Amino acid sequence: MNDAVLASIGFLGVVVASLVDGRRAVPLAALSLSIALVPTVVPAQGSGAALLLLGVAVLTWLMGEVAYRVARSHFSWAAGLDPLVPVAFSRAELFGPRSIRVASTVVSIPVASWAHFHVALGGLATTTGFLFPLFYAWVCTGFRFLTARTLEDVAVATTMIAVASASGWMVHGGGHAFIGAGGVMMVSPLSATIVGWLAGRHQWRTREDG
Amino acid sequence: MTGVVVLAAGALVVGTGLSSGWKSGWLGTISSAVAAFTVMLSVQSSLAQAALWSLGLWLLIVRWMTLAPGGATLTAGRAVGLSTGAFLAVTPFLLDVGAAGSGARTDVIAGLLAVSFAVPLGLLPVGGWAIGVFSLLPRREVLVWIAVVVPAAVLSLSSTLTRIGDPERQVLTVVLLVSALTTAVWSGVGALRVQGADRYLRCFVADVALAVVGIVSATADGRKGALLIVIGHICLSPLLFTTVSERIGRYGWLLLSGLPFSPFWWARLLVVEACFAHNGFAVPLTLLALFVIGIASCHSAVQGWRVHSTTSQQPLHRFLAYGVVVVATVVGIVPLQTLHLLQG
Repeated sequence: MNDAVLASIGFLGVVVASLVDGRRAVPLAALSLSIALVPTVVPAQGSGAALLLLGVAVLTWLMGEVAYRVARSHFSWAAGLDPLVPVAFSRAELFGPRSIRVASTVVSIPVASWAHFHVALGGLATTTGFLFPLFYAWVCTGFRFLTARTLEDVAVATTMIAVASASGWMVHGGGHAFIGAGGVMMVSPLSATIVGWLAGRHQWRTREDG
Repeated sequence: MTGVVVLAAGALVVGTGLSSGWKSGWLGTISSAVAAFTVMLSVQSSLAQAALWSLGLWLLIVRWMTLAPGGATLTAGRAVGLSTGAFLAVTPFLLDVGAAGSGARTDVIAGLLAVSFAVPLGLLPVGGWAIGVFSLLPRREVLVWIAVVVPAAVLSLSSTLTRIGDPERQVLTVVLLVSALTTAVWSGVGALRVQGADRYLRCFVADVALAVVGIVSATADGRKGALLIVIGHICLSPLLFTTVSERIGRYGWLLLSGLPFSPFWWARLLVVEACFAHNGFAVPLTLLALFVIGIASCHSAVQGWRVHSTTSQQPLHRFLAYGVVVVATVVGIVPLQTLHLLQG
């Protein structure tokens, strides 16, 4: 695949993962980032890598939904942290959380470009755009952590870093690359489960408030 | 390593017994986190280490955010997220760390590793979240950080420094040394301005920074000093956070002050020796940090410390508290034998 096309697919997927919000943000981020990074990992590890990335994204979706539905059916109301409500910030601001994240995705482009031209991974050449999606995902994840306002934001960023690092591991290759990458990617369903569970506990209150 | 784990588990049990007792949900979360950190220190793969480290820290952070939702715990979540993310991101690069690479590659690897370790160790600037968060949380949660998270991070830093290449090690050493010296002086001076548990937290952060100074000196003395600092705080933290009576609390502060034949006397002496041997320019700042920590501890020992309005007079609590004093005193009398026993 042409490097420019590969970088563009990666760019779009990472932007979606950086901007997504709401109860299904974690599985959506996992899915979009997995799709974005599939063209990067397949040349290094073959179709098995694509299967792993997409399989874990589907598992993330399933686990998040199951946790949400189980929590919603078992709790009529539960006090505690709502993962979708900002922990310490009000929403009445000139630039909301998504505007800041859009700005961060723009700022990340030159940072990721610099990194992928200067930092080699495995035996891959740094002169092409092959590694750009990977570095872009890492930098955007850093910004997503820095701009987090809810537990769900933090969980999305954790999912992004797990998928990106697992992809980096597979791109590098070497012994046990698949096992290691699969282990790290399990963070993604775990994050979805935690957010789904906490969001499900608060569902009754949200319905009543609405 | 097994000895340190056993000591940490004992400190958690004693500290929880002395503070507010067992709570539902606490045991499961903390046991899972401790298990993750213990396995992390046993495995060789950097990816497995990073994954287990992330898992353990995230279990704790989610717990802390649900216990005390607010700006401080959210900041902790962001900082820990950055730290674990940096650790996970750097793992593919550690696979071929010995290979020739550009200066930028070395800087990126060292920078990611520095962030990975500075956050859980509370080193400035990225670790500035620690004191604000722990002043909000119940004591038993803070004990987990002191007795489990920080020792695991110190041991992991020590082993990581031996596994990376020379260029990365040099950059990482400089970054961590500057960060640790700044933290030691800043937290030490800060300890003079507050009282009670807040003072102990600042003394602890300053001591951890000195342990990092010892570790990055890459000498045997520095490493021993760092481990003794960690072991000393594992022993003393249950006592200094949960004063059973003012008199026993004073013993704790005396042991922390670094007076001769306390565990911290030997620990800090070894760190200073390591500084003389490896980083001469760090000696003045290290001595300044030691001085202010000593002054703060002696002041608390002389003045007394009334943390709780009512102090427990239960015989079991007094027995446990005196047991902590005895263990810490023994560590001070036979420090090298203790290290040998715990570390092998």
